[in-house]
Amino acid sequence: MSPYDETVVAVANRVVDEAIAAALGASEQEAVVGVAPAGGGKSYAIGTAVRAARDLDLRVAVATPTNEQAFALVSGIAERLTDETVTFVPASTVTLPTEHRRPNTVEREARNTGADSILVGTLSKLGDAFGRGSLRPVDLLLVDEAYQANAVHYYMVGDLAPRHLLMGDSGQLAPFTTAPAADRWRGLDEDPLLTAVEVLLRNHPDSAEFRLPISRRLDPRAIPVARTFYPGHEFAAAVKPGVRELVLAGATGPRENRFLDAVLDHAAPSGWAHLELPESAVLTADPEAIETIVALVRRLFERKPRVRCERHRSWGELRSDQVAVAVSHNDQKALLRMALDDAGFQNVVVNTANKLQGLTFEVVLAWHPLAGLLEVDDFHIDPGRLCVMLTRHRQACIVVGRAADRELVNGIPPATPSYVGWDSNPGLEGWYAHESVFAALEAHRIAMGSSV
Amino acid sequence: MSYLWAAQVAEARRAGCAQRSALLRHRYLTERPLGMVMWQLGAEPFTAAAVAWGFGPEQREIAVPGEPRDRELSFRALTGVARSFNAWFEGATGRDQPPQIVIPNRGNLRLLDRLGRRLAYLPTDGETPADPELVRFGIHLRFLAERVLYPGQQLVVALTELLSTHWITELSELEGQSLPALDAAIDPPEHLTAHEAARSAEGVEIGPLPSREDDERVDPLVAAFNRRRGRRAEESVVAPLRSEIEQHYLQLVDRGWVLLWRCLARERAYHEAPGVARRWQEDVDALERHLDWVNEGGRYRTRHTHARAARTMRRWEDAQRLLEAEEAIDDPLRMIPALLANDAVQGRVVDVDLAHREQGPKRSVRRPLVTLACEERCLMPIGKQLWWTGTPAAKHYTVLTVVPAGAAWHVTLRHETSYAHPRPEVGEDVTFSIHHTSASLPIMLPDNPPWTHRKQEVAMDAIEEGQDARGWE
Amino acid sequence: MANGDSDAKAVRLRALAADARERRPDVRALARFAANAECNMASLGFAARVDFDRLLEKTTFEVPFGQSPFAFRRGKTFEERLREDGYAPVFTLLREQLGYDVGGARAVNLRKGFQLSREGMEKRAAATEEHVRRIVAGASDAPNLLDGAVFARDIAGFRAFFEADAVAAQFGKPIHTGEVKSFPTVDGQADPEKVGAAMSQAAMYVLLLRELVERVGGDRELASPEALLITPRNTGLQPTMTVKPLRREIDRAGRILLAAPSARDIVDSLPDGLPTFGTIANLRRDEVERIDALTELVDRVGTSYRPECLASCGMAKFCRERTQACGAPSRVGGNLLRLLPGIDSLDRAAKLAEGATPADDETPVAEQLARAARLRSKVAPVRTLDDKRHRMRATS
Repeated sequence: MSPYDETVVAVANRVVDEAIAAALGASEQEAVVGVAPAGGGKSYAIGTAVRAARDLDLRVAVATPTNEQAFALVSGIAERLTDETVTFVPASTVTLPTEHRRPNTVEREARNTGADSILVGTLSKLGDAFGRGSLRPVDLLLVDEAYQANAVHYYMVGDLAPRHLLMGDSGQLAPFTTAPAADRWRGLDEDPLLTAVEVLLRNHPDSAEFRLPISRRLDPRAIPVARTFYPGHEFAAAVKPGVRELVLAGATGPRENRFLDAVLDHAAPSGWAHLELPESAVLTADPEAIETIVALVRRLFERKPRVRCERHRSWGELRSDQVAVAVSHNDQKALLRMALDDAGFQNVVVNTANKLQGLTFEVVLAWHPLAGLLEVDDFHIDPGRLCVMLTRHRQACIVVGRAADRELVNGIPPATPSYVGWDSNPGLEGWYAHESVFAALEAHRIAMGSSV
Repeated sequence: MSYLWAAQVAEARRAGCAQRSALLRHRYLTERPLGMVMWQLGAEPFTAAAVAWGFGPEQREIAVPGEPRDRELSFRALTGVARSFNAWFEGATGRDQPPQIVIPNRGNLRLLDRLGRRLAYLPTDGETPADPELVRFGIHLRFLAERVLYPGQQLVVALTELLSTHWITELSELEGQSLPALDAAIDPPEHLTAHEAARSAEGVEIGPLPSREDDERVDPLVAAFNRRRGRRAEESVVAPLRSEIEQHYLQLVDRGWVLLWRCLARERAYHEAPGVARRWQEDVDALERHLDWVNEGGRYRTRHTHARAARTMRRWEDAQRLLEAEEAIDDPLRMIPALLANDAVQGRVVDVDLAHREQGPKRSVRRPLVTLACEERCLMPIGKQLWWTGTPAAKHYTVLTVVPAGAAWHVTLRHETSYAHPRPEVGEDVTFSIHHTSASLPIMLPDNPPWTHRKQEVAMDAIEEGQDARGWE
Repeated sequence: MANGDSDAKAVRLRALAADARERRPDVRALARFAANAECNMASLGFAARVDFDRLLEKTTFEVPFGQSPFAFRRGKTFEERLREDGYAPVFTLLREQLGYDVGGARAVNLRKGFQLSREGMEKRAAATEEHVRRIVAGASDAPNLLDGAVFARDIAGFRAFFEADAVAAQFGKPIHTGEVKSFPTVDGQADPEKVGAAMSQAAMYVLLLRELVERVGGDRELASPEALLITPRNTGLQPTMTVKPLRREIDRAGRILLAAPSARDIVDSLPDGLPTFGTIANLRRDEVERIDALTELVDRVGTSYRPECLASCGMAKFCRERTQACGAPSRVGGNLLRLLPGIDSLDRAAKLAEGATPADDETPVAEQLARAARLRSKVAPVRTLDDKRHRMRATS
């Protein structure tokens, strides 16, 4: 019995194949967009596209925003295409880490890649090399994380190939800048902060778009919450219900653990828990939240968690490096890191949503962006941040917040600025996304008594 | 905003007067900048009811069109401004330093921006040619409007911003847009607290947006002016009829004129930060490129290309990073937020090991170690990259260990280079922070957009056509 | 909620309003209500339809109000331009961007020929409904453009009128709502705050239009979720039009309408014998009397001051003074509230900064404040009024 919902998988594979066929069969100066929800298998699809392109003897370049993403693509593609050589084109300060090297991977400077058929690098590096004339154009350009790439990244590689396939996750964090006048060009064609997909569709509105109707990372229990971030985009989990399991040893020990146990005992079977600390005015790096999160991690491991899934059919111990805590701010991260290290959990990952994009864990603890806030602002209401936090997990996600959080998105949404020529309204969309998520988590809410 | 800010706001309240948020002055101020104060007519965006300019509190010229919505009158008044401005700005007369403009608030900035937009694209031939001086003035204003967005720039100084970035008050950001209120909070008159003084000063509107009362007063004057002149616009006809309107605006301008210079003088008294010099040089270089461009007949398009927008954003990001870094390195008060956020560590040097070696990939390399004793518990993660404020453009140091040592904490940092940079000395009080001043590499962008960024049909907006010459009335 | 309750509320609200200047309930009043929904006084004022802009006239707390006559005229001039040649500029825009076939297009100006009274507005609303009925029915003589369409609706117990600048229709196309504004769109961009406010307004009109369409037997979806914004283009007065999809904004407008009645609920918790807005607004009374009356009312009802109030509420200066007096961080705004959770007053913050013993829940904040103050004191002393005066004497 397959652990996968074969219908879902078959439909998704077909969509991927259609997208790839469209890209390969496109006329010159045409691009195809593949939109995947979180964990939709974009990078896998990219690998499939490389295979299909190589079967036609086409030269292919794969570009992505960050180095880490590039490394993962190099090893991923090399493992699948053992008969091909995958060339990594590094920036001057970077080298391919050992764990991503394979027998069929090489690392070369751009100007030496003229004879190579599969080039992988960051958008910056490939774009820079191409701009200097060190890189020969290829037949097909594949862009991964195309909603994270900005218009400038894409500009640099645009002419690298006459046909493109862009794959991206529309729910995650959008490009941003640290420059003060960030909205100087908003609404205009030349806005550097448009995503690669947006800039393509503005100029080539007839480009074919394919929506992948699948998530391979999320299981059926996670879909109802994840759906919030992809309005108009239907998708289902690849894996069947019940295949992913997290079990905990029976709860014993002091009464103090009762609340944490209730949370864990709810999260394990249902995939979600929303731990609500009592309403309180707190600062960003709230010590009580930190304490609670550390206590939750400790209690989780005290109860000897075991997991199994479609990849590991027999039970295995949940390792601490398979658990991550997602936060919004660096000071939250620093203090949590210290507290977890002090408690002996050096391998539990702690990071901001920005840094967790693209990663997968078995269990995630999400420190709700609105936790303890007195009012909402653009940063915290950003739907991308919440989306990343709530779509990293394969087994369970425990959201930690405070009782008054949901009131922040009750009632009337705030007035928001609006831009001529730009139809998105992230402030308003974020507000509605947060409201939806609170509603979806209602069934999983477990409130701590106010006697703490 | 940091806890330093919160603590200082509380202090400002208790002391009843504003607190400095910087020990030094982080903007260059020339000896003889040009002050400008303007007034609008209602919400009329692209014209000015009055423009005053001059080089000191005692000297001020003013141009008042009378009926700013009349193209001829408006342009004639603005041409008067343009002649003086251009001569000075371009260096033809009376300046021994690069030009700097000081204005009271951002509203004046926005009005200058809009005037530039209106004037820079006027046709200088054809049916209704505009005076080339006026067009050149517009082009200079276009350059300045863009430059104003550059973090740390000093070509145009808005006093409300100069004050807001150097003083902390109880005023909200909105209230801080009133120069009289800010000024009062910084230097309350005898017997008043900052709040009381600001409250009474904020009622004084210094422009460019007039209050309803101001405009209700000038409304009948303008109506009478228009009636008396009929449809005539010749200077000989309108000049004698305009004096009441001129008086009205002189009064309005004078509300803010002396205040502008007083606020400037107060800031001038503070010592200039060392980092200011580099940034001023950047401003001057940009200015000179602009003047050369204009001299060669160059103009600015109304829209940016993709490449220009991208390069500009990258330059702004860099400038912002450098500004924050230089201010923090120059000014201990500005470094405190980094210390509070665990992005900086301060302490006394207890050990320096210049000879320390580490094994590199090929051979052993020299990597000097510096150890600090810190009073506070250092929460730095191991591996964090920091720069010594003494060598902010050099390679970074890495945090190696953080260990308790008696009442203090010892932090050992490793310099990731063997180059003979200056290093801290034992006994010195030093700061290491995330602030560094190495320049970023410029991005290489092809000037021609790739096919992905080009629409299937028509290309770029060309230089704007001339405006429709229809007057208002 | 039984009718009897509503009447009781209405009676009490009318009594509280007394003879204070009335604030016409329109889209701007609703926008203010939405912006200040957290503030009990604002909600009460909205429910009682009291004009806060003039409430404190001739007191030390009066705020400037009203538009410059020139600003008003610029708006009118632009609108008049749009009406030239039988609304030719508007029809051109509709043709160019929405594919309207403008041969024989008809416009109706609903601003002309009606009185400027409540009765007049009711008639305009009725006329609007009639035109929309014909549009929905596909009548051949249905107009293609309504200038000054009015939607009448009961909101929180009173009759409110909403005036949309433009409603554009053509058989076979969705009905579009439009707003005309006189701020310019320059080189493809317009002030985002102003555009946002205009779109909020437009969203409300789309909602009301949908209700009307349904009422006259049509499908709500006939009213397009895309709104039109017409502004001057660049530096002249030629118009340009932007078409904007407003799905979330329309939902927001619906929530505002749903929430509006709840503004009246405040009145239930108020005791009898409170000072009225009439007293407070009364120019013939002594300022001290008026302010005392307001203070008594505010003490009972409560306010929620933020610096943003200064841009939108006639009571802002009064509330600011109260907030200033008790030293609440909300007086300063910005991030301060987030930095000082649970700290009611900056005075307390100052004490904690200099090392006072914090209560348990104050400890995390106190640590941060004290640390900041300690670092600062190593670098510079606190500036006092005395220092300032010494320096002034030294330099003069």
